[in-house]
Amino acid sequence: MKNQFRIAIVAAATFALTACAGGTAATNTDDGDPVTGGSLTWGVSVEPVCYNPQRSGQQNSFPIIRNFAESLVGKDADGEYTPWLADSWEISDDGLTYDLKLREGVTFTDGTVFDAEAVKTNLDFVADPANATAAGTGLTNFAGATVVDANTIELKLETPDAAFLDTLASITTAILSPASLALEGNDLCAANADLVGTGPFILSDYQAGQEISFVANEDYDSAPGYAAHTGRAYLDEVTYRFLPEATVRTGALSSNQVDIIEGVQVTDTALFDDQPGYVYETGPSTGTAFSLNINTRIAPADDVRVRQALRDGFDLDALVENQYLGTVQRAFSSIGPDSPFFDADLVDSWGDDVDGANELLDEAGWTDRDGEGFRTKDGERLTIVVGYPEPYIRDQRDVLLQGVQAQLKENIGLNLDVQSITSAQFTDELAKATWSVYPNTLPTSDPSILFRSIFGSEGFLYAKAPEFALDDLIAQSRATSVASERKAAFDEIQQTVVDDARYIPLYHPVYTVASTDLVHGISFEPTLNSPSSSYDLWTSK
Amino acid sequence: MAIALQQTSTRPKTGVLPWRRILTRLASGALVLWAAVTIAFFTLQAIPGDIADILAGEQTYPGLKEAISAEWGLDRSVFEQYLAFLGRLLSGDLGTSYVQRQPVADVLAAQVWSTVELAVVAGIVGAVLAVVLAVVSIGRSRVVRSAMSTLELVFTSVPTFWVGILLLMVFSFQWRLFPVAGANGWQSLVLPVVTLALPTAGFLAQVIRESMERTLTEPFIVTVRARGVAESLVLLRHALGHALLPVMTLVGGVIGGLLGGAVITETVFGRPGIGTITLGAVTGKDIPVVMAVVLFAALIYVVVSTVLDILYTIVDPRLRAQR
Repeated sequence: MKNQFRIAIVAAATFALTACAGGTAATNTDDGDPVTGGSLTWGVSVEPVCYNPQRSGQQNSFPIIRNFAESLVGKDADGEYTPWLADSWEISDDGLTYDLKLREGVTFTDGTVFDAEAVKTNLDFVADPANATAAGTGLTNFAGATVVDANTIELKLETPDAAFLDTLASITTAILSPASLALEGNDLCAANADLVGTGPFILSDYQAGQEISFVANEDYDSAPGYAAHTGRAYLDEVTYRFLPEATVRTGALSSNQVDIIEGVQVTDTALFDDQPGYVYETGPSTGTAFSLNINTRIAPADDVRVRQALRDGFDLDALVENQYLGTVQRAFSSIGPDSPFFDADLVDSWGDDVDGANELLDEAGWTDRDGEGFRTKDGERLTIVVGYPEPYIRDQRDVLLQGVQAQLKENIGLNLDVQSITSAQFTDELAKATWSVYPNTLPTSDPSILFRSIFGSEGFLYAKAPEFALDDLIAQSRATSVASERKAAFDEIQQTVVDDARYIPLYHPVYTVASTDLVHGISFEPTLNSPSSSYDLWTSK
Repeated sequence: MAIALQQTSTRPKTGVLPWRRILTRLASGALVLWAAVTIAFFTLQAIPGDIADILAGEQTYPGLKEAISAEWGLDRSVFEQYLAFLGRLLSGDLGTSYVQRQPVADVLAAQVWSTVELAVVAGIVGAVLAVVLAVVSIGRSRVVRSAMSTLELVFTSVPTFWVGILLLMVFSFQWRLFPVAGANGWQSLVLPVVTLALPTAGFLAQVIRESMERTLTEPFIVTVRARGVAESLVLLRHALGHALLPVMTLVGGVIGGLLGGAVITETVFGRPGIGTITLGAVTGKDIPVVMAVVLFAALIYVVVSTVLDILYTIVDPRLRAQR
């Protein structure tokens, strides 16, 4: 990504020079030092419903929340853990004890001192099921915290957990002011002065349905190890304006009403990518692919041959290319290609094998055809329903599925019935385990946690159905912290789910950002894949 | 008007306001509100999906669902929940949003004025525009009239969403006259108001023109003209005044249209308002918020129809005799 950014900068600088046409000194400060001061306005696609990092489940809320909420551990672009609110840590040989040295001299923006006691209060709070936080999911192994001294805390686990540092790096375990957590009956979801962290910005103004603004925290000096600078944020002020319509975001940027937008519509990419005056960037992809999860318990997809035929019965490369015009990559595996655990052996190993798919269906007994050309068996049409919960449909993913549907009908006579359903209906099907195909993508996190969600019996798709789950492999990947052993377990999971076609990866979604060339320091947060907070941003406006 | 004056002088003094009518309307209004929230409550219960499951989302860990159920009182029977809900309503408590985790009253109060501002200004602009369109076109050649009514038809039938985007493209992105988003100052109100006012204007203009044309054939207009009153005065004072009476009947529908259109307009322009809230609440099965919005809409309907009813009796003396 950095390279891409450089290229964009060079292109922009070249244009500026050409425009100057032999002027003595280029006024463009692209290569200059970051400037402190000024303000920027974002145009973002989603207005968060909850601003509490420990409760929000909305991927798009996190880039905003990160401005005031910080985690104990950071994670850099290579997947390495870096200091953040914790300076260093030691893990015992049995993997059950984590000793964290906390950064000294940090205060919450309400003046409360950040210390081991504050960390304990936070972890105890999110780990308690009675508080029903989103963070609880990662802390099921957590056995308790002991304050050693003001800046040392000892965390105990019930079983070794290779994903524990990832949990500490997650925004859901961000540390909030104990004074805020102590507020009775206050969920801290509202964007107001009760919501206090240690971050580089302080919430200054919020108008529901319109925008949220932050001012710089002048005393800030606890930047994560992966940040581009230390000390206070460059910007004095940053505003996030909620513009749910993609066309409106594009227009607002091109008419200079905002400086930077997120969620660039595919068809608008050409307006900003490689265009003078603009910078266009895409984030990494380390979460799960946008994929079809096929319920192996529901006929006719309980037959592995039917699932494999579905997997190979269409030309995915062409569909993704036509739809996204090269802005995203076609997927081969369940986790993103930018993850260190991505199984490269899967590349080009499956898909677009129409003859093979037809043979499989013949073999499975779907040999007759009905009037519309669909295969039948015992008078039943070969139909597989895809229930796509309406609120999750975005980036024209439903259109992509319709493309798959059309090809499957044409190529192998399979009726993939793509339906848009309510989230309530999906929840109901989930509870009864009657969902048939669930299209989804999970935001990035440690693959153990991702796989547990969608392939494990503690997850939501195969809840309490260990006979259909991959619990052993998932446990194996989590019990060791030796990277090669973890990779072996992850590879086996990635291959298993694609081989038996319970999981058909389609493409790797990425965050897209476009800005004017007066905005600098754009980056993406590795634990989220989404744009980072505005900490490293600066402007030459 | 002379006729009206004469009538009041011959009638016994009963005051201007028909109190009995008002009281009946208020009682039936309360009934409407109760029916609306009750139907909405049980309809929402019938939608598939357990609320605790929805609130948990994709999170699963032991004890989570039970904690959520206990937190929101979902472990009680539906009827108990309904009684508790009614009890809360009577004490003026709208409850707490499941999703936003804030008191519903706060959630709505923060946004409702923005929608009211938008709807009221758009309503006024729409009405004025409608009157202008109708008065300008009446009595003109067929070509002018059909051009006008085609324009009105376009106003009413073009989707709000599309109009909004089009106005933005031209006036905000291209000419940069008005800002795209926000509720800061009058500039940011212009485009949303125009977007919302156009369909209202188109719809009302058609009704007003037709009604005026009918009024112009009435015998009293002949009398007025015979007195030598200027034609513009005939149109504006006499024909328009009478023609507005049937328009009042349509005000309820117009308000419904304005509120419905506000949902889309707010989304396109990134404006705060109850439209955005409602949309999110319905998809997330956020029952307390949906109920509050239903209550709000029903309340507006009841108030408007009551006020209109009273206005009728004031404006049209014939109704008063029928009491």
